[in-house]
Amino acid sequence: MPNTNYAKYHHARELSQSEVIANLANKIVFAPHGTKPTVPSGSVAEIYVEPHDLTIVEAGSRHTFASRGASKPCQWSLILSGEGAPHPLAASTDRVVFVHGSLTIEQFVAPSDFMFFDEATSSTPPAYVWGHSFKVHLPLLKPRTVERFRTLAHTWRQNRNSTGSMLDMCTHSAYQQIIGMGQEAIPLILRELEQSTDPWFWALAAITGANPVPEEHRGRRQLMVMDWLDWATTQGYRW
Amino acid sequence: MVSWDLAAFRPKFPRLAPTNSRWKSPSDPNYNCIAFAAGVNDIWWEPDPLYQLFWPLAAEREYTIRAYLKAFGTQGYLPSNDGNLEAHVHKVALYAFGTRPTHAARQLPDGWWASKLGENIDIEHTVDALNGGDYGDIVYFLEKRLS
Repeated sequence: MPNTNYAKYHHARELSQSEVIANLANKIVFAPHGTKPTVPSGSVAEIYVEPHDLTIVEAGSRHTFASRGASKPCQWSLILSGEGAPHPLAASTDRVVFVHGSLTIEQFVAPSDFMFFDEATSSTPPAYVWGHSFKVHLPLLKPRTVERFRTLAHTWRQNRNSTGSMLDMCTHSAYQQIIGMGQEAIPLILRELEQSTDPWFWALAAITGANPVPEEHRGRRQLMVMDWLDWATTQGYRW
Repeated sequence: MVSWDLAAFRPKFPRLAPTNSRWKSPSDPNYNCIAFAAGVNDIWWEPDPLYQLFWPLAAEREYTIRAYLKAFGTQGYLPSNDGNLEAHVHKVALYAFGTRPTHAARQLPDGWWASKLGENIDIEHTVDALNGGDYGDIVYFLEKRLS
């Protein structure tokens, strides 16, 4: 069915398809058709998809997006359907992630069964997994948030006053607007922090009120980057 | 001698010219001018209020000339009468725009001065080459006498 809801949300982190598969493989137990493996209490399944391809669709509808960079081309589908709905794609040759339940922007908690079909590892009919009370984290960012951040960050990089004072750099209006974006900017800031030496420490400190940089690391950028990324990980941020 | 885009810096420092400045080393965001003047090349020195950056504990964590003098004092620098070259004396020039410190340069053995321009490059220059620009003017000379 045609999808008119493309690119509604971005995932916070860009992962290769192999990483996607690795994540799924690490979190989801495959089982022969018709069996229900025991899922440890509190198990967490995280589904990562490439940001430009992910679309959250209305419950009961389907969106298929092509994987990229794969040695074996295939397709993934994220399907949301109502509780107890039939499995319309069970016989499909697509890779299918099939989720029963409801979805919020930040997190999905499957109220009952979580099903994952993997054509590559299955016989016919496909192997599948039943999980109970899985938590599926989908740290998503709205495209306009991403776009606004990128625009502001670009403006800041082009115009920041690099005269030796972090105060001058970080009081630039574009940087201040990024701080004003609040929590939704944090995954994007963390991504920047991971990839550049730009001073994003101030923004993180200003938004979160935290300071994971010990006294002996102050002013040492590489150590500060590690401190902030470690802190973000322990706080449960995804980026 | 490495050529550098002096024109890119002239809007900030209108007195810079090929005759009073020369490129020294490439940009490095890991340290700033204050650390550089104090002889440190891997830490950013600044009294930021969010406690992300290094600042000597003995100095007030504020952007004042007094706090900057104290910070250099932790490295053995005291106010000096002038920026004249003297044997066995290390000198630092402290710049301020109004009452706010903006920059520091350290004197070289030939009488020129070495400056780190923010996250940018290191240059060498005459004592007045950076005056009248984004850094304001030199407000203090400091000295450390070598035993």
